[in-house]
Amino acid sequence: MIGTELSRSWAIFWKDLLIEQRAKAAFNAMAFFAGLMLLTFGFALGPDSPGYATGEETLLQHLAPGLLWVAILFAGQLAADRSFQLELERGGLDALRVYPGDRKALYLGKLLATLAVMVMMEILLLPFAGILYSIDLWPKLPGLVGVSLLATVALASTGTFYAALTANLRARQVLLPLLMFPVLIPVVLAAVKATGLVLHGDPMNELASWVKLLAATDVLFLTVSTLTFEYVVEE
Amino acid sequence: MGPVRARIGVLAHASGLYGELSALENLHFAARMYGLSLTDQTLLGRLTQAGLRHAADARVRTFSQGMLQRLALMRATLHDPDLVLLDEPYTALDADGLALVDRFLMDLRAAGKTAVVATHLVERSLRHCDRAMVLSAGRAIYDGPPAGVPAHIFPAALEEVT
Repeated sequence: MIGTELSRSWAIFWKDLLIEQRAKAAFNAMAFFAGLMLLTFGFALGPDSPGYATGEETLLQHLAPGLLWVAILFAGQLAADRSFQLELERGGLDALRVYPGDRKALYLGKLLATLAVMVMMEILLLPFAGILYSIDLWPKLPGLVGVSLLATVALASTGTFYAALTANLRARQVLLPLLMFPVLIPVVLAAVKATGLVLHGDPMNELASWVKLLAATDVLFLTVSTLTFEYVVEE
Repeated sequence: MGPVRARIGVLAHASGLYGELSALENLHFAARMYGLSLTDQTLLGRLTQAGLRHAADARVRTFSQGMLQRLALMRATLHDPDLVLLDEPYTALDADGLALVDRFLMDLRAAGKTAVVATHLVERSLRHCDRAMVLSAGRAIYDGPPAGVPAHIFPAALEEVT
């Protein structure tokens, strides 16, 4: 029984990625949007403005964690929205509702596909931010990858849930961020703090607390979204 | 509701197909969602039955409305359901397509399965049904054997139960 449900999740994941690979609708929109945001911040704040914390870093380097996560947050919302938009084009969402099986499988498949697209976008975005803001990411890569993965799971799980909730609404592109962003405030806060500690050093050993907060929000969002998704996709 | 949904096939106005996938990929996806593991051969057989064997690997976004309707019918009934709900199954079909739906309804009837068909093609659909219901302005104005449907209401919307 669990095997059949996992097979359904895998089918949705495979289908979404195949469509994305061919249409590249979500990935292109996300990558260009996030890249342009980082570039615009670079121009707006100036490459040589001194940072607030120490004289050794520029303002851009000091603010890089916040700028990066703002870009990922907005781009992630696009990915979640696109994931359900493709289901509306030919009545795919209605067909998904009629297929037998547990709705949790539908959520898991959609979540994994959104997560995969976001991770691919971050694989491009992180080095781009490193080059743009002159930050040597290589020695900090393991910590950065860990924090990014934890935060991305929270973004994707919440995004998938609210994208399903707003899928049939005319004003979904307004409502999705309005519903999603307030819930994600602790995630963004923890992700920015943890990324900053990874990039700039952690003299007070604070990183573990922020990572635990990210892990706790992952567990909370995944549990609540999975348990309530069935009611979200019902007509 | 899961076990109930497994016994129902639904063809709605929208096809439920994905334009960026091929016809065969769409059927593979539907089979997995129905909990079936069908081989390429089986699915190609279904496409042949629908007259779409030549377009098995073509992306669905290139299909005409009639081809979409044929493929949507195959997708909705891939799991051999006991109850089939069809909303305007004759839409956009050519003569061969109309005959395909006729054959499909006759096969269902022969297999002792139930189909509920909503259609405006009154005369065509009356051939296959055991019970007809005529709806006008949201109200049932006739409910009974197909032979008793008054000729003057033929242009009205018809729902029939096979």
